[in-house]
Amino acid sequence: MTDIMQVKGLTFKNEKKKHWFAQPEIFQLGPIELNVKRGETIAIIGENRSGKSLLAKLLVGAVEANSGEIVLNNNVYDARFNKKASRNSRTSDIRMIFQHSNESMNPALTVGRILDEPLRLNTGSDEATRKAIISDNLVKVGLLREHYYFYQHMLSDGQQQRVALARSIMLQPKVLVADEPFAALDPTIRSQTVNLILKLQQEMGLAFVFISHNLGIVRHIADKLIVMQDGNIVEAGKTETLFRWPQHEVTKKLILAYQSLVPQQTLR
Amino acid sequence: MAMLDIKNLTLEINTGDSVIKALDKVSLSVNSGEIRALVGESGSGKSLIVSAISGVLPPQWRITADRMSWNGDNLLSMSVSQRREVMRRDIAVVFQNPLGAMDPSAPLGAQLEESIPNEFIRGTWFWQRSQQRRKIAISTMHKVGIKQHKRYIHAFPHQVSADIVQKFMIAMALVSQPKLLIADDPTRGMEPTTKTQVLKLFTRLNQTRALSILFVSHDLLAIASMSHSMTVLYAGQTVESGRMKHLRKRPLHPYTKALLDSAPSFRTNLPPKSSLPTLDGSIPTLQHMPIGCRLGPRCPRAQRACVSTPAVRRIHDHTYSCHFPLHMEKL
Repeated sequence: MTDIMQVKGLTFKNEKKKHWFAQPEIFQLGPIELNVKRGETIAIIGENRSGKSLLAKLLVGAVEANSGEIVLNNNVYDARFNKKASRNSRTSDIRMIFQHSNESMNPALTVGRILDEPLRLNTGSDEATRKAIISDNLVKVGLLREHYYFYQHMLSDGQQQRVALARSIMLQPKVLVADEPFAALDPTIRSQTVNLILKLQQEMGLAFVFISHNLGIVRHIADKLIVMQDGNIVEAGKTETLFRWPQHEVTKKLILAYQSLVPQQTLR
Repeated sequence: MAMLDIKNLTLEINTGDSVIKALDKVSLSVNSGEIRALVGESGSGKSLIVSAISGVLPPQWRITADRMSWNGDNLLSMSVSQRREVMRRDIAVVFQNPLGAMDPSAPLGAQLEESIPNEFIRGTWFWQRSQQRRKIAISTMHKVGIKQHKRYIHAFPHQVSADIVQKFMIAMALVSQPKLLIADDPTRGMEPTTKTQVLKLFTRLNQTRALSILFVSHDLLAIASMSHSMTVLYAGQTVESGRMKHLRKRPLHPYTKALLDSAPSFRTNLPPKSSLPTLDGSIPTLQHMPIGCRLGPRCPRAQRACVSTPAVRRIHDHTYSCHFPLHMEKL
């Protein structure tokens, strides 16, 4: 399989001066090299303040990078994100799911309007086709066509998560980036969402990059694992390999912390 | 002998045109020196039980219970000052959402010092006393895993990250050396390393000081690693309760099984990327509770009899309420 997305030398630098004379606090992310294959699931783990969320935001372009480029389907995008032309196709190729689906949606709009927004802004299609696409996608994520007219508060947590997922696949993306998509969900709803994402991946060949603290789920669905510390990737590799033979200190710490929770019988 | 003993706790909320039963005959007991887990999804009334025990529910909500006692004293008929005494010295609560539960206008260290009971402080003069308060506060901070106490003791809650505030919350609960700690989702949103740290602290306190813990959470992995017994709650009804070992090995209620199945960490034979077994639908809202067994519409084993509330049945110390439990063949 060929790489669907290649990230080359992605860097981000934040210098914050708290005081005139004080040394500036420098947070540097990267340079990051990352290859994503078609239909592959990559999990990013790491401690707090290791730059996981920032990496996700840089990938979708929510935050401007200082340098680096993203190669997607033979299109080269500048990660600095300043060319208008590249912006449009990039926004439709890499989409993001946010952590709290209920806070990332406008409560004053119907689900239909929420889902219509990416289509209206990024495609030139007329209203009838847009509506058809929306109802297709609603069915795809396991909702009903009638949910077009619902408001956010009328939906349960699981349904809201489905709407968030529908919004992210609306533009037929190649890569889906998610920042802790399962953290705020209840166990049964979480399994439903995991199943749904697995199904969509099979159907659409999506690559899925996600951040999670829940190593049980990471182990279950991720093909590859990336471990981050202080803005750098310190270890990367196959999930199973990393779980069995962690090399770096951070990985060892995280995996051990997880293994100590897992009941002993299941380890054997 | 159970320290905290609750039998058939019912909480009714009057909404004007109808009465909603937010909790329906919940039974729960915590023995001394035991870690009891209370498991349920959001909206199942876990936090309501915590509030009912600590007595912070609005007075217009009606609480009735056959029994709700702390070491033999009835909590419901206690006077306010007696109850306050119990809550101050014997029971400590770690509330959900630490940022909301802390005072935003006072530094974290000051709030921690305030929660140290006066009896713990020796010294005649005020400077000795304040020094000692500071000393106890710092040692408690170290105990819960806050290493840089200088950095955080003067910080306000909004200035530090959520897991540090959470640890302060735990420190505030532990500083009065309670007999029972009620922890309402204490590890939510924590990264794995911090989480294990906190859980280990709880286990250690349980072993060394015989602290009983009521651990409220939906993180089954954390629960399974530390608790002795478990009570499963669904939509305000107790579904199953018993020893952790037995429940894990052989759940009798379909909901418990679904909950255990939803955590992939428990199962090694699960092939990667296979779909997880799950229940359809989602938790019903308070206004639209199904009659009878509230799991009914989502339950794979539901039959006609499920429209009447199942009675509590008991096998040794394992209780469950289901008409068609998993050890019975489907009729």
